[in-house]
Amino acid sequence: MKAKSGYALVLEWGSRLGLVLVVTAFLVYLIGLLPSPMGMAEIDRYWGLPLADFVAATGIPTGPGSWITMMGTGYGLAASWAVLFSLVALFAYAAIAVPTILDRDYIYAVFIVLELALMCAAMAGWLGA
Amino acid sequence: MRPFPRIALCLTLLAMSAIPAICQDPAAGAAAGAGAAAGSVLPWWAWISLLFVTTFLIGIVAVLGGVGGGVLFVPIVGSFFPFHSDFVRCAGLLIALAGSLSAGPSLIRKNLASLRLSIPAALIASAASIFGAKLGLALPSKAVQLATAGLMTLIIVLLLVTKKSAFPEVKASDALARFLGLGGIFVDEATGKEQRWSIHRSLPGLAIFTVVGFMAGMLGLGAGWANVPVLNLLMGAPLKIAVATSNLVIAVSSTTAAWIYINKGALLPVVVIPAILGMMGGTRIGARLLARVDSGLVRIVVIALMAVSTALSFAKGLGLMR
Repeated sequence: MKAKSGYALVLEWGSRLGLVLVVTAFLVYLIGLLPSPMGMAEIDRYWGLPLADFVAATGIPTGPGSWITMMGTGYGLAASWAVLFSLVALFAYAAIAVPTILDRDYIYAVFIVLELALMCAAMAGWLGA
Repeated sequence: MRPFPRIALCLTLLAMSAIPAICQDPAAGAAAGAGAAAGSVLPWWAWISLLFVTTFLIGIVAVLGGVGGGVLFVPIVGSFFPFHSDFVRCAGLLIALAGSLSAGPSLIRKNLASLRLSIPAALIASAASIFGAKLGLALPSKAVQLATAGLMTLIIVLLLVTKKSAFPEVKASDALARFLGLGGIFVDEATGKEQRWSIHRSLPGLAIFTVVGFMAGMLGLGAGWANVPVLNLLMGAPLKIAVATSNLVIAVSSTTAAWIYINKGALLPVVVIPAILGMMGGTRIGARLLARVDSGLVRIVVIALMAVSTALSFAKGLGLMR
């Protein structure tokens, strides 16, 4: 029961925080308050390109953690906060890991740890991103 | 059905079908190899505004039609907008994720979403979704369009032939379900009665999440279209439990697949953010309209929209249109 309410709480506050940050970052990007690798006026030259061509043409960094390195730019800030949404489920699983172990629900504790490992591996690019 | 929802529904359909006619230059097909903007008659801000409006409308229709937003978003935006399908699929996963995050907490608190049932299903689906995402990014976009069209055809058939069961009969839960403690009690708000539920056919049911996760990761469609029939029709979860639990599965499997796209640079903020905001707004309005509209008519609208976007995906995949 503790695990369930903890999970719901992290999802709820994570998505609220994510929404506020993503709107703020998008406005910063749209208004042009921070420099960007590509301005809004030229973005439509790139969005129809296949991903590999897009990366080559814009010089956008790729790979694990690349979104952190771009946070000083309008484009990177907007992308980074959008990435936050994909961290919410990870935090929610992390929040239920300990209560599950304390409940001696070891099978589910193993499932949760495996899922956390999978999400972290995908995030870190260990699965061949 | 009252006039307002009927009019709103017709306007939705009209607006969605008008998008390609309004926005695409007839000569665009000749502009091979150029960026999509070469064939666009609209400036960037108009595309972004249209994307917001479209996803808002998709959000309304998706809730009313009982399908996930991703299953409409990817084929419609992939067919009618100038964005490359790599960006559209990444956005599809993130809007499926955003939708499930916003609905999840209340579904858990109402005891409709079963965390215990979602955890093994999500583990299997998310592992498979990684391989799906990797394949999706490796395949040429025409192949992905054809795969999307093929899967959409299957989903349309599923929508037409399957009849969901509010309370499937589960004579006895199987050994795996008992071992994992899959089952519970919830209060059905429609009747006010406490309902006890359990699961059967756990092993084949959980195994199917491998295929579901793989396809969801590869095509960015979310997975509500498959999760619900598997949980409800195969495993015997009551429909409300199946729908709510599917939300939790999507939150996890979309996260894992999304990271494969994000690390490759496929998160384009001008596509993802208006889509997330539009979908979140639309699903809220859709939830309010839900009690007032004729679900049969909505189902027809959803299937019609899916059929049109499937035809366009086939045309794109076969190189008949850009």
